[in-house]
Amino acid sequence: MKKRRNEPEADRRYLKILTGVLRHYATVLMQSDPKKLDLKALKEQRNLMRGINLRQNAGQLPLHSFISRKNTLVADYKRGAYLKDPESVGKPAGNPMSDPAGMDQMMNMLKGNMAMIVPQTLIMGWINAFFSGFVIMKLPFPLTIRFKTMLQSGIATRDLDVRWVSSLSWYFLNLFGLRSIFNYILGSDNSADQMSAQMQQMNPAAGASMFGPGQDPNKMFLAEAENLEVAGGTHEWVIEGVEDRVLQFL
Amino acid sequence: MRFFSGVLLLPCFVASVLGIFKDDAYHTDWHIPLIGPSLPTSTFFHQPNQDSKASLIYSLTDRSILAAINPKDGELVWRQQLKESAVNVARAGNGVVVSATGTSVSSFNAGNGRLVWENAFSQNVVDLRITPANKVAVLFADGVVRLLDDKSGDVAWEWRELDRCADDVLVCAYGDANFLRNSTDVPLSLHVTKSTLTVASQSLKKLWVSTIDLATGKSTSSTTHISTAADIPAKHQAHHGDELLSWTEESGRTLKFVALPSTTPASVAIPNDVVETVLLSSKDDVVVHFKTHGESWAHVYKVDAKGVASEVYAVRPRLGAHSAISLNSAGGKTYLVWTLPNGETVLYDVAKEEALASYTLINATEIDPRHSVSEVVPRPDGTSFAVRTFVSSAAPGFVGDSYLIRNGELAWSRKESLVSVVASTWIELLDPSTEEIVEELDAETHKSVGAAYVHRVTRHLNELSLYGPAWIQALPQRILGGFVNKGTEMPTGKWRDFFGFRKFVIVITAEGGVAAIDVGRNGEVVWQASLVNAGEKFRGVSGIYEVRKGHVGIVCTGGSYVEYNAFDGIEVLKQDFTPSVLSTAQVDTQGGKKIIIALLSNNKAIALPMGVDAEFDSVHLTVKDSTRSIKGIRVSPNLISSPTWTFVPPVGESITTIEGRPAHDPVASIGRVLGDRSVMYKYLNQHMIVISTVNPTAATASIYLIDSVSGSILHSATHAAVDVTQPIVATVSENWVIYSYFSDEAAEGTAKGYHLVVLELYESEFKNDRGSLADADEVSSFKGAGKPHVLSQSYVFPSAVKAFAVTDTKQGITSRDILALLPGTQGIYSIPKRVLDPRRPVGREPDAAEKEEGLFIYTPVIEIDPKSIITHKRKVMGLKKVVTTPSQLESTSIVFAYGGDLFGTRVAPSLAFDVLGKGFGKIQLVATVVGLTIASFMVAPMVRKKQINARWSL
Repeated sequence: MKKRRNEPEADRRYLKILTGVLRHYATVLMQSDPKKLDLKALKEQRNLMRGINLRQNAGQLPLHSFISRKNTLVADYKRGAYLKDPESVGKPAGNPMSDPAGMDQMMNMLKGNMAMIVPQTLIMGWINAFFSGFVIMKLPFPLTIRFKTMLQSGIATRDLDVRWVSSLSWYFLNLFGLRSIFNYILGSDNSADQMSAQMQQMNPAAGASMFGPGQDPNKMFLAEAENLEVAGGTHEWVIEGVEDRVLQFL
Repeated sequence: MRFFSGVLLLPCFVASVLGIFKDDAYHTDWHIPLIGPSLPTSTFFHQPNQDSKASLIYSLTDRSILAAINPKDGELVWRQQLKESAVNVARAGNGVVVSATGTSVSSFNAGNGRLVWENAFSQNVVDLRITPANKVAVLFADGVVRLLDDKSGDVAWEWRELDRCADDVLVCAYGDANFLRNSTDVPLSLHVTKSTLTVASQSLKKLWVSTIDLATGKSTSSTTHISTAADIPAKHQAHHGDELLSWTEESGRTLKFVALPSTTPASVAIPNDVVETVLLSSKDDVVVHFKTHGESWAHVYKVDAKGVASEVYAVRPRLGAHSAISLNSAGGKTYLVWTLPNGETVLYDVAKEEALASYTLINATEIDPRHSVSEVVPRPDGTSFAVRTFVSSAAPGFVGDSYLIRNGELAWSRKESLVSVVASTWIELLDPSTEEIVEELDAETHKSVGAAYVHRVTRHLNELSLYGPAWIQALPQRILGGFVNKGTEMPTGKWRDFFGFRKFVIVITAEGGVAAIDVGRNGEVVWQASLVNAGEKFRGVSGIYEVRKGHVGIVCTGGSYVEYNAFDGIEVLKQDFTPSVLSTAQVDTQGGKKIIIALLSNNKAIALPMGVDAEFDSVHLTVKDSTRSIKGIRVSPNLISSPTWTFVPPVGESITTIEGRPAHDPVASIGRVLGDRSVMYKYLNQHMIVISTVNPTAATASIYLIDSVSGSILHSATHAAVDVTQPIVATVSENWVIYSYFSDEAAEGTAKGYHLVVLELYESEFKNDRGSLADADEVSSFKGAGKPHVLSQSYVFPSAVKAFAVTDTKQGITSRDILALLPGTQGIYSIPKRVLDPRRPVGREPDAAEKEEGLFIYTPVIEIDPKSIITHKRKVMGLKKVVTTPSQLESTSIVFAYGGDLFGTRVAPSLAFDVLGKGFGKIQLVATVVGLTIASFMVAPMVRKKQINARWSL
């Protein structure tokens, strides 16, 4: 078997990386600035954050300081003092579509998807135009026939040894193998890698902020109050008995 | 994971197997339209319509093809395949060309070749003339003359007074003459004057003429016989000229001609050594052209008003057996154009003895004219002329090649003799990159490992100093050239191109001509040679082989072996032997050489070339004795032949075809992997032959698969209700057989139409089992291993198949296409082997395992998809056989078709997976990469700014 040239292989790898980088940038550029929240919504959000922060950093405070802060917060939470919309307590969650903030988030998601789909389509067409239907490399180890469909897509013969990899298959192997390179170039939370974007698409709730559409803020406050009460029982101040420890150390 | 498998499946839909890509059409394929040797009286210069200045050459050929040739460049303006027949006549009318083949008369528009009308009759046509009123007068074999209308072809009147007497009445009255006649009067020719038609016929050893009035279709005078001697127009009948009738007397030594309406013939004695006499006439000028084996000359006669001919002058003899004379009238004068064997043209005025002009052929070749037509135009100065002559050649082996000589210059030539190619072989060309070092490589293989290594390193160092600097110097140019991506030029001479697309095919014509056709360079004829001498009859070829690198060996049936250098056509060796040859085979000797074993008609065998000492294992040949028996013959190493088996089909059956596996038939995989990873082992027997027989009385066709060594029948099948007049064609490759036949009026459960049947042979019907072969490496004919397991399936195909071929690649990895040669101008159709797969599930969708195996649901009809016609738009005519050969690329097979036109192309049955396509643009590729890089660098600062802003705005 004769092979004409190997340049396309290298070229394609650069191309893959470059499109990935570009996609990351495009995704970032297309993301709209988060909308400024109104005062009440901000109050609601930040006060919940306050509770979470208090619980997480409880060890930094002496017990009495913690207890007094906790008691205030738990009382306020249970009262619903920070709620944006105190009247809606106990009512079912509204249609997420009607929430302008939710709409905004969905728009962002759509843009992200577009930034993924458009270059994906383009590059697929491009790959097809340039690299479809020929063998590009030979693996240095034998494989069983089970790998045939994976390694020889676009090759229309049954009798070709599985070692020979078609360019289309090599493209897909690269596609899933380029993540570490993107991480290196663009930092870990990049949008170049389709796999992560894909994951996002499959589980959109994970990436959304705390008060995603359909969440009941009151329930979240109550849950946080519960958490704080539990944290109060297991509190341990980090500098409890520090004098003895220092002396022992000396 | 769904996404993952989704994207993997995607390309499967993208890749669909096509016969030929659009951008490859007209680039990788070539087609030489041929019409065959022109017929002398049916070839003429003629204006396509009255007011056009230029004229075309119209020619009807012995292949019954009517064609118009552009005299400027030799291109065909149009051509029509008429019904093949022994009687072919074509005449020029006003704006039309009328031709008669067999029983039908058709008129074609002279400009575009479209059929104006066609009229079929019950009797064969004998002669055809165009009347001054552009009507068509036709003489039929039963003596009837019909006048056909020029617009519609309808019969205007019929003349039946030459009526043949009933067979039982031996004596009957005939016209006014009341001669005794028997029923064997034979109509001969038809002649047109201004208002009358004259019919010449032969009866009672005499020549008769009857005259008919053109307007009414009634006899104007009684039928009279010309001359008193027993004149038999036997050997020679010249119908030249509407008003001239000529014949040769029974003795063959007197030529007579009569200028109608006179009935007194002039007679010319034919000298004893004359072998051919041609008579030409134009109005009242008559030229008699004599040819002997060594020279030729002519006499010019003038016919006066009373019809008496007198000799004007004689042209002095010139050397050369073959020469041609043609007459042409222009500007009130008649010119005689004489073309000599070396292409020299001499121009005479029929009134003057001195030659007006003489032209020697500048780019001289031996032309050996057989007959010619010319066009002479006197230039205004009165002393110079424009002469162009269309010449049909009689060169031994290449009868019918045509040339156009324009004022002593060979304007163009057409290799019409190649229309009758009967056999061919492929010749591998030399690789320029290894040819120089082939001896050194050879030396390396014969040395010990260490010595060979040292030899190779020193060779490489030498090459580095020798070629290195030049290589580096040429580097920028080469890179630039790679980007410009202009089509690589095919090399010339004996070198092949990098991919091995350039190969020679050596063909042999029915007349004994040998020609090397360069398949890589659009079918150009590289050299030609003749297996016969002048005047000899070629008895056919029984074998043509590539005997060693660059040499072709030809075994002629008549008993001779000729070897040519395949690159330049120089005869290397010629050996004659007796008697004639029955069959040949090429075998490898123990020394790695190739020799030819020929079985002679006295049942002795000889090894060719004779006198070569070669040891070989015994050879098994298959010889078709008659339509009722096939013999297997074993030729032992000491050249003793002994019959081993005889195959006689059941009573009533006669053998039609025998096919064996091709000599080069590599098998990539010995088994077929099924969807569940189990294997069905292929039954691979190099000696398997397929024999087809027909039984005309029972209307059945049978197929027998036979082991040609042991003669045992491996498989047989019989089909009922078969039209036995339609050909049954078969092909064998790898472990399968494909054949086609026509199933006639349906017997129970069969469909009427052309059927394609595929048989696949496996070692056992069980998976992972080798049946009776057990652990044997190969099938052995001697061990009597059991019969193969045969899977078969039948398909309905919309067209008849004239021949099959199977694509052939270097290692057999590429899946195979079956090339079916369709009749008429339909071309060559390629069917992927996976379509003709007997394992396709019938009546249900394939399950997952079958899908993975690449099977799809059985559909009984194979539709003809125009995309899979590898001749695409080209109108190929008269093809009889298709041959294939591998190129250096595994994916590509080279195809050549012959038997009428010549056609060559390349096919990639599994698409070109080992080479970048033509559409691969390096410039676009680099431009995209550069563009993306620039875009990335431009967008990067914007993104950074945006990210920082986003953080601050929170």
